[in-house]
Amino acid sequence: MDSDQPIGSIADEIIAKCRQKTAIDEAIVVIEDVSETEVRYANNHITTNGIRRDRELTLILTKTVKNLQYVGIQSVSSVAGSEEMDNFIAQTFAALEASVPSANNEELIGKSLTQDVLPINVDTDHDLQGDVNCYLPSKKADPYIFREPLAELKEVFAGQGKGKSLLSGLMSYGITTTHLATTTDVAFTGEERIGIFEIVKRQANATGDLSSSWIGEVTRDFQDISPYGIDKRLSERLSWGQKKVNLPPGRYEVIMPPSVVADLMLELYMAADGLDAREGGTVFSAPGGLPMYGRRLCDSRFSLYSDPHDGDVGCNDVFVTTSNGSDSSVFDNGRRLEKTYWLEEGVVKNLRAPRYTEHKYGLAPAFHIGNLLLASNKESTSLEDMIRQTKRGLLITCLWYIREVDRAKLLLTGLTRDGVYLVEHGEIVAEVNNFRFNDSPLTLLNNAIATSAPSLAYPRESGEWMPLCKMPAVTVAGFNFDSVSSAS
Amino acid sequence: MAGKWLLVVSEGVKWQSMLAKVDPKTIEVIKNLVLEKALSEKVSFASLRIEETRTQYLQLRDNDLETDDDVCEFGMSVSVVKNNSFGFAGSVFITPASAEELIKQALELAAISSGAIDGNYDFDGTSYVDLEYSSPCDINPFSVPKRDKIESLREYSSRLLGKKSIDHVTSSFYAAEENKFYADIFGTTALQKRVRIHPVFEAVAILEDGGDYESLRTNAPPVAGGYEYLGNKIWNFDDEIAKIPDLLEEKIKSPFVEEGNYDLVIDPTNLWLTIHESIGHATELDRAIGYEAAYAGTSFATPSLLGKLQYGSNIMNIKADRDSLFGLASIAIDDEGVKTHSFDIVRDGILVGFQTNRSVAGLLGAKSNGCAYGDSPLHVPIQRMANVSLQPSGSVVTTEDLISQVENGFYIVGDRSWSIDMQRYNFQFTGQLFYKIQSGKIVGQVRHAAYQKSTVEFWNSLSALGGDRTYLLAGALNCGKGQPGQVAPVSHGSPSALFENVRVLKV
Repeated sequence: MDSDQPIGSIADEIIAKCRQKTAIDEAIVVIEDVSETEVRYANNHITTNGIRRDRELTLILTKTVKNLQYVGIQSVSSVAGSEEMDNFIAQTFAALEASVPSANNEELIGKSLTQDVLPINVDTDHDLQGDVNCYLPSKKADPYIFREPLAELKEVFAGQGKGKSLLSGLMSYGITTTHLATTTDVAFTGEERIGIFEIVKRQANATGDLSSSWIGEVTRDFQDISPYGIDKRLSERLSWGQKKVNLPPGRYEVIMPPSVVADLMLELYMAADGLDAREGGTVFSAPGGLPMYGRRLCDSRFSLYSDPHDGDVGCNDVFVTTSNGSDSSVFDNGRRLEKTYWLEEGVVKNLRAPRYTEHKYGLAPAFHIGNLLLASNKESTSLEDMIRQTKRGLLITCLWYIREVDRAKLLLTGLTRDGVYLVEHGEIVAEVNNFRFNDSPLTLLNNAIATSAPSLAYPRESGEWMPLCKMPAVTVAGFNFDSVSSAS
Repeated sequence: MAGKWLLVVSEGVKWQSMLAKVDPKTIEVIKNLVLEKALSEKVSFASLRIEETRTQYLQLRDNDLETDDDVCEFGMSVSVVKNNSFGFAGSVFITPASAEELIKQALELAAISSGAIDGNYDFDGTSYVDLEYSSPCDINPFSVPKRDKIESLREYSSRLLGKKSIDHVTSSFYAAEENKFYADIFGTTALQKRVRIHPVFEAVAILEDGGDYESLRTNAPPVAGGYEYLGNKIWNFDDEIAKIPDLLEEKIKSPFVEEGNYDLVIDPTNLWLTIHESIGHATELDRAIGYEAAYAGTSFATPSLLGKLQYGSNIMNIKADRDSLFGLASIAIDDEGVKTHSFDIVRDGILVGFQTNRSVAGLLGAKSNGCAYGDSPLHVPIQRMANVSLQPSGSVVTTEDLISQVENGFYIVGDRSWSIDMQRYNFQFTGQLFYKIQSGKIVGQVRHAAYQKSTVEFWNSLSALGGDRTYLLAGALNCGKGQPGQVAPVSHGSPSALFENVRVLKV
């Protein structure tokens, strides 16, 4: 097999071979082709770079024996030629034979994929780019896409002066083509293209103290990326560091830009696991071992949702998974994804849960979607106006090393990074030391004073996992900065 | 070289290794093709990596099989340095045609990065021919039927399920077998195999009708070893699991911690993670010079502080190695062809060394100490962590001896939540168990406690070390660094240790 063999053809061949076997209920093939390239830089130099072709081919086989459902799953990077494909299929059949009954699908026995899932005709594949076709070679990322921004970036490097300012960061671009095929004629092909551009700028101020600032942006094609423009914005922020003040830990009014809000909302989204909530002891648990569907979790101004058809952060609109877990089941492959509210006007609407949990535990099925959006139903303003309206507060740039400390309260710890600024009487007056926080995303949703209109938000901490976010900036009252960090 | 390739297939593994299916002559063709092309292009350095990694992850929730992942990833990549510029290309397709494309792409990427690097590469031309390495492994985990593994998880879990205060039990089993072929223009060829394994058992108590939660899990660390680890010879799972119900029962009845500054005796099951975050990462030279400024962060420990920084008290000695038994980072040569060895990082409390790879070692006027690692053949080898370990006291000192020295403090066992800032100053850790110490004796547990300190202050508050009988090699499988993100396995050894006047807070 060469890298240009279309993934639709590979899947068809495997499905055809599986159809000749009689010992299975279903066969599901998932092929993910990933083509990526990146350039990484530090201290005004390119340090590393890369281009890669990755593929993961997964075959999932199911069978029912005496009302128990068995699943065999094997994944490989590729198969080279007919003999290897036969071996791979044989190994997956062996895995099926060696499997133990799977816990998460017993309620689906007798409900094959075709009974619950609308077959998706390959002619109407979801297509973000307009020309995806699983019977053509998957598209490859070309470093050529960096030509203009990289040339501009090298000029920006040259303009920094000898060691006066140091730029570091990443530009990366990836095309992921996902293909799903089954023996029950479910088929889907999706393609996602995502680029990331990040710069950290570090420089010493007049007193020798180091200041840094960060900007990270998501792009589909790098046409909207301007290293000059970003460097200018970073320089403006660093100019705020000409005056530095040290502030003690405490509860502060904090202006959180969209990147910060995205990282905190992703933590809330990750906690929105239906099975975990049913077990109890999560913020989504209700008394008596039930999730808190229909109950208010936060202020009614906010709605947290995912929408594969959003115009800015659209993503694949069919659920595809190669793994069973608390919030996913291979039996849900092929489900259409629609706009899904996790919180609607502060009320819990959905938690991620596979279909089988509906029969087994009374959970409402809801599937992971590749984006996250936060909306406010109150009048929004701009980030600049939010700063102007602040009597005394802190404007932060991004958060880092966020970890859960108490699952029951969704208490998180983490730190500010690359720029904390004191706002007094509507103006940024100084740079402030970094802080460690111990607080919850629910504080953000319950103590909001002002919000901006949502915009694209690249989460500094979780961006590699979930780059497609649209979030407002939010001014939060009484956010708990627990201690001071000397990092600069 | 012909025939050696079959070594990548573990004995008894039924899995048909894709790499083994490649004709050894084809591999030889690929090697010659890549390295001859590289030499003809007058590169300073070029290497070829062909790797296959099989991973298996099983998870049971209340003894029901929830996750059953079995993945075999493989591929090859080419790294080049030409005119002080680096280029890298990788692919899952292992053919001569693909190799030709990779060397071409790597050279093109080096060209667009031209003149970019400071020229600090350490290329000494040393080679190691036909080197072979295998981590310790009596029973390859992939040779054990999956049903047996699941049965074993169920058997252990059943000892916890239904016990007082235990509402749920999660058990998991992770295993990986990594096979690497490496060749470079200096003439090094190596075939290296590493096996690692990590079984985990966690008991959960749901409190206040679902409104609160406590848990306790095993502290058995991940190790570079085989399935024999799940027995009781290396780690006593029987004993540890037998203690969980009573310890969890005691834990949920315990009071919340009273905040303040306390003396802490920290068990190696917890201290390994503090070492990892506050020493391991802080002494990576690429971080210290700013190569990770945009992602993993930088370090307060800069090269100018070498030989000067009082990192900790004078009983603090930190060694790095890539050759310790069961060490997750242990290997014979790194992913840039540098032979690994042990070296000092902190001696008598003073910073004396950094972890390096070829791209940064020259900054110190030194040779790489063998810390290059790419977590997949498709990822660029970058400077990653060695096994970084705190050395025990030369005297016979037990954990109980350390506890006996504490008037008012805590004994902390097991890791849980962790976080540290972008320059490795301010950290916060929780634990599995916080035992209250009063007048030199343990008097019970507390809940919801964390300890927080700045790195150098913390290590300078180190006042006593346990002896080698308290020493444990623990570690992690999921150390993150680099963009695109890479995950590395690494071990950290530590004795029990006593720290004075550390902030403890309620979280």
